[in-house]
Amino acid sequence: MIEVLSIPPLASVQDLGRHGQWHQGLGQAGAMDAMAHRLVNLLLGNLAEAATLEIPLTPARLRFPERSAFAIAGAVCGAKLGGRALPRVWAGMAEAGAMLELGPITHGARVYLGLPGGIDVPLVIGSRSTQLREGFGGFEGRVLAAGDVLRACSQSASNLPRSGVSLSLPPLSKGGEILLRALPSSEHDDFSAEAQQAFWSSPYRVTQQSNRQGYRLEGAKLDYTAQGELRSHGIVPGIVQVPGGGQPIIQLADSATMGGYPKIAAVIEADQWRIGQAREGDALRFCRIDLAEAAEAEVQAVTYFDDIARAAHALTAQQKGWE
Amino acid sequence: MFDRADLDRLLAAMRANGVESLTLETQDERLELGLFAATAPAVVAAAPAQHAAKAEALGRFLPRGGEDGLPVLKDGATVQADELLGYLAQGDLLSLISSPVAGKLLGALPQAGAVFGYGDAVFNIEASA
Repeated sequence: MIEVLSIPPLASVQDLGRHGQWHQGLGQAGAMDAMAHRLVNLLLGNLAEAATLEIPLTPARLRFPERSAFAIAGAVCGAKLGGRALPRVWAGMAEAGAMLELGPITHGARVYLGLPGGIDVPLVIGSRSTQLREGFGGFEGRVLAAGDVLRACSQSASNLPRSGVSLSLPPLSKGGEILLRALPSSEHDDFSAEAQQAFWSSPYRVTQQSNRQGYRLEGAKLDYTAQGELRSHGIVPGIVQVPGGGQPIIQLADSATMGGYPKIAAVIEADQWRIGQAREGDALRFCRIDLAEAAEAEVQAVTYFDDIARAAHALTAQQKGWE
Repeated sequence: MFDRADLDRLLAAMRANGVESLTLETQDERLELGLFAATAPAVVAAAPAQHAAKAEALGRFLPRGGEDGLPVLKDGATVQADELLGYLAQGDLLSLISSPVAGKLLGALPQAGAVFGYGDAVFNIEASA
């Protein structure tokens, strides 16, 4: 159990999303950084689908009324538990009455907090994610506010070492730019050759007009050369659309299900967590890959989580042997 | 030749500085002085206690202050009780090494990549008075 003492708007309970409702016009929702979401669950021994708290704005103060395991991962925010500084990724025990303070975010954009078994909110249409636009799911269908109390699905603490455990994360950026592997999308070839060249070779900055629905980017103008209006088509998180102004938009977790803008590319799922941790002003660069490379990236992502799960089990076994 | 006053001054200096044995040699004289522990309890009691921050797992040492968002730890740094001092890595999984007491780090920090086993002292800390 954790009590929210203070938290800025937009913190919401999320899981891996509400799938299979596209045909009804209901978007996916879910964690913007699915990797951090999975990692806090993995460290606590939870299922990947267990709900976590996504915190995009800080500072925040939360209190544990009773002794509880918990985990955090994602953005660097100077987290402190009972005054003790925590690393960016941490899972361990909070004593009864302990205060968790999240300071200013200095790297990344979203912090994820997990509880044993996941955050106990109702399963609605197959998911515990907050559908912010529609106002259901998650914690009462809304963002969190001071005074809210989140309960854990499980009382049992996982076998965590006394000092807790942390993880080494893949780097968010390289050479000051966040690299996003992407596939050409359906209207890619209807953009001018110069636009295609610019899209795949020049950086795009994240603008202030960015939220869970999508990120508007700013960079080289992309000219669409085909004539006439497009009919609306289905869109999914990761799709990069280009409206009339020639500046791209990446659709994200709360994207609409349909859109009529031409689609130049699709960021692969394995790299979408990087967008979720991108902040206003960050430079994104799209890296063109093919389907085989996208499939390989998916395999590598699965292997990454499997390796961590194996290491966590091995550590638990070692700890039991030494006790 | 040392007289009684010389000996008293030397013994007082030994007590004041926690010196348990002293040897003085001239061309034709040799003086050896020793203080038993019972005669210098104040000095022994005043010595700061040393504590070890031990490994809770086996792994390769990884300093703090990289991607973890924490400040880099330097030789001789003052640390708080329970402060995270570094990590032991098993692949991407990191076990934490925490300071058992508030105090000052002694000696050089471990080298990144150095291997430690369960229970090994990774850091030595001189406890604050």
